[in-house]
Amino acid sequence: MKARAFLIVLRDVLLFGALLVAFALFHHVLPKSYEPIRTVVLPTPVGTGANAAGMGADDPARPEAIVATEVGDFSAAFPDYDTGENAAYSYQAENLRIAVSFVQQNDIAYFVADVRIRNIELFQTSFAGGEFSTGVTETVRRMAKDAGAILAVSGDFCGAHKTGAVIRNGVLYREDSGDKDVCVLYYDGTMKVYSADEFSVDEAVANGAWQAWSFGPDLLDDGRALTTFSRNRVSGKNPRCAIGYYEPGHYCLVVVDGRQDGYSEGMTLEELSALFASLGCEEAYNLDGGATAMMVYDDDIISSPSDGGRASSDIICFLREGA
Amino acid sequence: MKRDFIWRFLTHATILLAGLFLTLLVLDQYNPSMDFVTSDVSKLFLLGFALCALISSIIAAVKQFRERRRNGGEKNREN
Repeated sequence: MKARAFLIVLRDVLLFGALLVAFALFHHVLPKSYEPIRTVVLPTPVGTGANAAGMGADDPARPEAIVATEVGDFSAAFPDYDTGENAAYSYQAENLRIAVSFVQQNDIAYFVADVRIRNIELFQTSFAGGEFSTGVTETVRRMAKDAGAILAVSGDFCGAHKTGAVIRNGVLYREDSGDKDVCVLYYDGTMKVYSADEFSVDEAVANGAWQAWSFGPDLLDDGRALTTFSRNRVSGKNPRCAIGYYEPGHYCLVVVDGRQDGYSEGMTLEELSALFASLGCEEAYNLDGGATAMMVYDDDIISSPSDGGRASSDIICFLREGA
Repeated sequence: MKRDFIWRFLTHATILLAGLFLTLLVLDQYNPSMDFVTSDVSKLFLLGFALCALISSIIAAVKQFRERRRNGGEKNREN
């Protein structure tokens, strides 16, 4: 009788294991690719007032129009100096300036990549396998190499989630915005973070969304550090990856190493928020952290991902000029 | 006999699915962004769990009712 009971329990335990495997298989192993829903209609370039419309162009009395830059062109704010003089890693090109600094203090180690671009289209994202899908992952290094990126960080791991708006390089892939804060980078270079309640994918698309990430939470309130967050369950000390916004064409990417005794414990959301406020960012947004958080520069992983890191579904990247 | 087999199967399926959901709820506490509990696959398993629990509970209730009636009948006969 006892032997029979033992066999029944053993059978149930084995079946339970099989059930977990089946769940994992259908939940996040079997790949499922998504077709682009629509391409975002990007704003038409800003003209030069009456001249642009062809009115008054021949009028000699008319003052010369100020030539406005095109939407998404940040030439006016693009620095003409080397931004990476004291940086650990520096890439200074005609249209892209990157300066990566490494900071280690109080058992926290992190990388800050200050990025300035001349044109919004230099702000790129890339998917594992080249298309948006769930269940397909690649290392950040592999994706960065395939894309020809000089700098890349892990994204929001959109392929691991079933909901959350996904707009990448001006293409809408997923509309269901879910219950997370959404960060939108518009084609005019501005970045805005929305709570799940206030976000409308149609509005974002209509306003020329270039990229949209769904992870969060929002880390700043008009440049001020926050102490409470919309998602608190991941608020402890962890490896982190986050993006910050100063002004159109000027951004920063932060990767915090963590879960490594004697080197770096990681940051709480509060500490991360305070860091972005001290950097002077207007907006900041938390991306997928933990073992996913990783920074790659010139095909090398420069951060120290916990547990050696894990493959992800997407990256934020800046391409080498001429790539 | 066949009904007994089905009931046994359903009770064990209920135990397994309950175990699965307890595991998923614990995982969800640690990593809510993975949608362990709210994904389409989870909802499918949840449907299976609900059906197994419902059918096995109905069978159990009917069995109990019949047993009670039989016991009641036996008591009446004894009296």
